Amino acid sequence: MKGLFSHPAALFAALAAIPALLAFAISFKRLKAAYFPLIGQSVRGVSRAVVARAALFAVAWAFLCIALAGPRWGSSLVPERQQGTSVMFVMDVSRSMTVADVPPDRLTFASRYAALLVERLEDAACGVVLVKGSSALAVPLTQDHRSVTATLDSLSPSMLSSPGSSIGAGIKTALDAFPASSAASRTIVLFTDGDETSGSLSEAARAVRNSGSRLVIVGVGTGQGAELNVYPGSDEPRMQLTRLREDSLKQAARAAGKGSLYVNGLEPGSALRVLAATQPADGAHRRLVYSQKPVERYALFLSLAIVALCAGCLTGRFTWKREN
Amino acid sequence: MLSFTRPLCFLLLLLLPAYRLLKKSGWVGGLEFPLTLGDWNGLPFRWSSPFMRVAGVLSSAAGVLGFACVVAALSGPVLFREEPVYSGTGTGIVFVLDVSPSMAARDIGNETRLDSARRFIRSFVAGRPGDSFGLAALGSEAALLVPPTTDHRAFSDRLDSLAIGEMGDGTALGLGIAVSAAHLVDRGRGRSCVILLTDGENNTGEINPKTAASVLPRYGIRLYVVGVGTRGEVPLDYTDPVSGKRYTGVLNSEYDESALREIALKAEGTYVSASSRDTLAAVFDDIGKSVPVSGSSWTRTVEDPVQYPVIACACLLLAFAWVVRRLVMGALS
Repeated sequence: MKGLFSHPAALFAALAAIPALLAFAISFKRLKAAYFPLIGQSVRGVSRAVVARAALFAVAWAFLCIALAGPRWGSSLVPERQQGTSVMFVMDVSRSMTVADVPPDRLTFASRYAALLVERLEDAACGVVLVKGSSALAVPLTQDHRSVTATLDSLSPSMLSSPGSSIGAGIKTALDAFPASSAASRTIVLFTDGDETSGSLSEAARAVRNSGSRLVIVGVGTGQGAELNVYPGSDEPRMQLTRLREDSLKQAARAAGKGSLYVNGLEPGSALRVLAATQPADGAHRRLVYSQKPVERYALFLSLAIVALCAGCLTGRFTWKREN
Repeated sequence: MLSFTRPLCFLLLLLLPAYRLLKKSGWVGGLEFPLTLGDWNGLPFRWSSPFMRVAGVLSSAAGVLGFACVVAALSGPVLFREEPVYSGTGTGIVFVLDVSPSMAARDIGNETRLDSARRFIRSFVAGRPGDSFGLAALGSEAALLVPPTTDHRAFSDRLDSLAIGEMGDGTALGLGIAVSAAHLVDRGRGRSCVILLTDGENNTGEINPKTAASVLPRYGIRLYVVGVGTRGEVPLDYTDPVSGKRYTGVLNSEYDESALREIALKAEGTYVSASSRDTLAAVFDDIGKSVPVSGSSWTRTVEDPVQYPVIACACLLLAFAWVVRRLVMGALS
């Protein structure tokens, strides 16, 4: 509903037509009982006209409420001029990232990989978002790369207390952290093993596509995976296998639109592919990108409401005239 | 500027006079059940109650206005505005705020020194959308809380959450200047400045403030030192964030202005004293004039659609017309 309507709560207003029609039905029934025996069947035409008018007005009201709810489907491309580069690193700091199936462990591997990228992104503004069960902006977009690398060096699951892994929340925090008045390109580089508990990744990927940003996902871990003690404090350890979920990450990268990609962090040359995706090919750092904007359809429902309203005013009277 | 994406839709307003004509000719109008109650050739029945006449006029007016609103919304009303776009990060300005307990003294109007400084920083930042702002705090320690960033919302959020005493009891001016300068040295000459707001003299920290200040000119970083507060006895009320203990009483406010002046001199910067709201405003005004505002790279036209408030008005007016006609006047449909 939220995707199809911008203000879905307004649809509840359409329900007001039900008590209105009920009130009409009751009063009309009373009128028929009191009045029709006096004059017989000669007013059948008027009765039909009254019912038709009430029904059409109710339909017009329903269309108005649908229009108010902001229906939207399909998308149109909106051009946007960009200059400069901004990159937001979203670091998954969930406990599954402490698994050591990549040396020395997934989180350290990811932080070193990201620090290497920051070093190469000389003129870009960079920032860091941490994500676990919730997300937090750790470093806002800045050209002070010292602050960024200092944060990357200190990554640990204890930096966020919320349990679980909601990667989508991290992507949304990153999207919100790009200043609206900045002309710089917007790239989100996500480091994760894809071990998500909230299922919010695909929705966040669509939000990336609609905003005109890019999502580069760096998969950290191996397909074989390794075991993780899910109750680290308890006397009886419970081991659970955690592995890199490449399929869902690739799917998310595809859903994030043009320019987005998935790379496996262990692949040789993957860092160069990430750098190429964050920076435009020309030296001037200028580009024209297209973001997808949903098409508003309120005009269609307003037109239908006007048609129903006019029909309500005219049809009833015509029925009456014809039958009398 | 208000504009319409489908202005031709306004022609639908012609339906209103057309409806009037049709009504006069008897083709449309209210539905009536014939029932003769008067004498033959007598005057037809008319509403005589003034209340009903007013209700009738109100209902018709609401109906007409509601329909006009529907047509206006269908015409696609949008507000166009020009929005500046910034391609660079502008000048990097780091505010170094003293959060020692003495900054809780209420001697700048009705506010504490920290709240007053915070308010002026907020309005200073709002007037410079193209610049980067950073935040450092100092007490017995000093730390960079926000690196110079164009994300002004993140900067403001951290500024608002800054609490007196969160960096300990003391005034490590040297550390504060050094920490902020360390995060500005890469920005290039003339593109950065440090604004230190304090009410005290250096009494702790491993770095001498004059030594820290003397490094700034080498990297083209300008230093503004702002002495905040009055001298003499001032009321003070603050709660220590670590122990939770509340301190109230009178503070004998004395600080060495000449020491602050010397720090500014070492950095080839400026020292200014602000003992009231007006002087603090003048200080920020002067700093604003001496640090040029970064201009926008270009502007873009932004469309703000306003159809939804208009549709909401239409719904309210038409619902009002229905309620008056059916519930007050007793009409059937």
